[in-house]
Amino acid sequence: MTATVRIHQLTKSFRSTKVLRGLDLDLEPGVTGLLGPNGAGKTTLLRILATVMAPDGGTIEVLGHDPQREADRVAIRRRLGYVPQEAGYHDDFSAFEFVDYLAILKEMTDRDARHDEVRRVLDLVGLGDVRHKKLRKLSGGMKRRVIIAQALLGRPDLLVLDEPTVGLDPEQRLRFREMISSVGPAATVLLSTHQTTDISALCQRVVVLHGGQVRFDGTPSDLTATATGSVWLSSERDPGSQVAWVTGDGQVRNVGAAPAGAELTEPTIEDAYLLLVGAATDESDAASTGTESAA
Amino acid sequence: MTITIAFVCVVAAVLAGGLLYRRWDEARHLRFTDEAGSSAAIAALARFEARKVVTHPTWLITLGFVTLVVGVLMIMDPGNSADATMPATWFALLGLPLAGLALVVSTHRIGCRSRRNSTDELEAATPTAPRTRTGALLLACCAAVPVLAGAIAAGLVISQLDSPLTPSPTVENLVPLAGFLLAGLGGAVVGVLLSRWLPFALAPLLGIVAIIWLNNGPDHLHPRFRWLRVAVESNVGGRFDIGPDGLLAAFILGLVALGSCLALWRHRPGVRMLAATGAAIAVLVTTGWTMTRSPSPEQVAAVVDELEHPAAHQRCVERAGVRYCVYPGAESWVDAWAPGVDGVLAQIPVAERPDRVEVTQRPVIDPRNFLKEVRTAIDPARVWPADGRVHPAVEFEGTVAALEVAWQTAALAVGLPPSPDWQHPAGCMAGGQARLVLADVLSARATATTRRAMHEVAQSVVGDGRHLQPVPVEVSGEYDVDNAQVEGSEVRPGERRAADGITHVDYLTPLGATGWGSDVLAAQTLADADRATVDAVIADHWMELVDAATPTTRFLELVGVSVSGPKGRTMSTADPSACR
Repeated sequence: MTATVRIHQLTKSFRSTKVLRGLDLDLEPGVTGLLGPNGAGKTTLLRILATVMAPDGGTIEVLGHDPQREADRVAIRRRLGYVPQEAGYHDDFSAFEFVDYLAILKEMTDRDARHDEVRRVLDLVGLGDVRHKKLRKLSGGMKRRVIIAQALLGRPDLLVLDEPTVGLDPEQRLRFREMISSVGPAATVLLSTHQTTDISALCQRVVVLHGGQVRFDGTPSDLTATATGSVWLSSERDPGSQVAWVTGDGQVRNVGAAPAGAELTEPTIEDAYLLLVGAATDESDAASTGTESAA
Repeated sequence: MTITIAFVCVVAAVLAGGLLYRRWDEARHLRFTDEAGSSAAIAALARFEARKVVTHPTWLITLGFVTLVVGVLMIMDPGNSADATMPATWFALLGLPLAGLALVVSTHRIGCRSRRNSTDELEAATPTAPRTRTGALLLACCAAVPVLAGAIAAGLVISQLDSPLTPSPTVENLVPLAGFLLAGLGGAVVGVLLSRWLPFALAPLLGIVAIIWLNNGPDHLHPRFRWLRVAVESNVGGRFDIGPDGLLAAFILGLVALGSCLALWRHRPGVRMLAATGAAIAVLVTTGWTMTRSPSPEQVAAVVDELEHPAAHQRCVERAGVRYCVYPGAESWVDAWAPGVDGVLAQIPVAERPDRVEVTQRPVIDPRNFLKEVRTAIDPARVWPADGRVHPAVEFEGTVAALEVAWQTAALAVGLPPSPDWQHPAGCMAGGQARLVLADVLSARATATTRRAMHEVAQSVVGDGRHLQPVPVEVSGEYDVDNAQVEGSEVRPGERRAADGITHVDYLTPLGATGWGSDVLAAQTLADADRATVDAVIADHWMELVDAATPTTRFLELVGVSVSGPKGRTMSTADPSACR
């Protein structure tokens, strides 16, 4: 399959902090989940893909365009749907007005067609009945769905979603999954989230980002498989575990290097993610300790 | 020149402040400032923003407040005011500038909403350029103009319904209104400009302070200050200025264009923007210079000729034996004056009616209304001769001076000077004389409008306790009794003058004679008395009543009515300031 996004040796720093460190990544049509701890560089990567932030170095190609060039950025934006991590709202707008306003900014200039499209996306996120309510009167979850709705305007070829399910209740999250599934196989969706269940349920591919680099790139089941043999149950927290917690049935679920004879259990994607991030953190710590020692 | 420097300084302060603020802001916040984008959506976006501009709460509340105030004025005085256009005048003079200032706040808030509500990242990911968003908002500002125009039109229609005497608007009358409409547009553009350079909440308030300061601060007493005023004041310069009102409209349009360009300069200006800014400045400089330059000798001569030989420039019509002559553009005022003139003449015994009544427009005796060059070139005695004609003031063409015209006609009949002249710029004093009260009564009873106007004057006498003060029976002007040196002393309009001996400090009445407040009350009592009785007294005692020696009390006695309260003394013709 042809890659719609190609990223090579992408770097980005904020003052002395290196957020992306030579990141390589190709994206193809389908839903790709992006996992990573806070500060891993997910939002920065998504902003660069959404053309609202310029990288410091490396090359990037989005939908066949180079976002470093002005005309190309505009071309990308015409085929882009974007949900920022911290999107604000115009409280004095109705849901319809807000999406309509963004539809205009997306160059949908034919009024009737645009209004039809606005109604379509609002129906898609389940806000058709409240479309004329002021945003200030909608709940936090509803407002988030308005932001998701605007990203779906014009059936974009690239959907960049930065933690879109924050603030959504379980039912709304299920609707969100349904909605993303309906986007179509031709679209490339990059979904950044802390909800590993969303990744399992939605994504054909998962990328784990940590320390500004890709730590894992594969299918969710591949990611889960990396934790095989590293999750076990015990009556007490095992000192050798990286992470451990008491489950609902009173047993302790340990993730890490299992001791001999441990009661192994089936890993989840969350276990694998924790294991991966924990190992990456250890590596980083070791690297930084080494650097400090060298200094 | 001071005002020009002040204007440039304000603009420079906005731009420099904007650059400093941007540097400070971007060092502390992550801002999405990519200027890339298209302008394809500008028309649709402008339509969207136009709805937001005209429905913005600040603007709507201000318009509602202004409408309420004007409405209350009309309800309190439904068609009773002698000045039937007063609500519309209030709306134009107070309401429209206020609405313009409200638009500064409204468009600034609209322009800053993406920053305020943190939607700038979302909007930055769309293909529409920030420059297009600014351009659309600037276009949307135009939406305020038809709303304001509609409000003015509605006000005029209501005024017409309220009082049929309200003259129909003419092109000349509407030109100054264009200045007010453009001022509304200017306010909206200033709001956008400030939102782009100073995107914080305090900026529009600073902008409003700057606008008020520029319009009332440096140079505001200078006779040519009009170049930076948002609207033409008809009695400053007026028709005898060399800069026609249309030029000021073009000037304000230039200001609006310059403001728009400066707002767009925030977005990486190119050659076209440079050219547009240059064009706007060229319009400003050209119209500003044209309005403020010294008039050529030919222009001065033309204005002087218009003033000294009005007959050569005025248009005259004959109605019911009365000749009305007005400057072009004021023809419709004849409709407002004629009923008063006819009403007065109808009350006068046929044998005593003036042989000929001529109603001719001319300016009030206040040379400061003219350009310095015109002021020194005119012969005041030729501009304001004692010609025994009725002279409605040119400056009052914005109001219905029905009572004044009726009174002047009556004064002519009773032997009082209808209008002041250059030798007697303050008119003469006829306090306590029956003929003055007779002129008051004749004019008050001429039409329903003049009756209401006289009632207003009488009410003000009682309300302000001006029984013993000179009170001209007019409602268009604002003769200021507080200029009296001592409370109750005999101060006449125009008595105080500036050191140059020409410029009058006080307001000058357009009436040829003034009486006491007690005379106004006597006239009001007689106007309210049985009409047949008063008619009979007038018919039987005309010669006695028009005699300068007959006191007001005699007229009251003949009709059989009395007036309570203090009464001013009867002016003897031996008194130097008394009417002969």
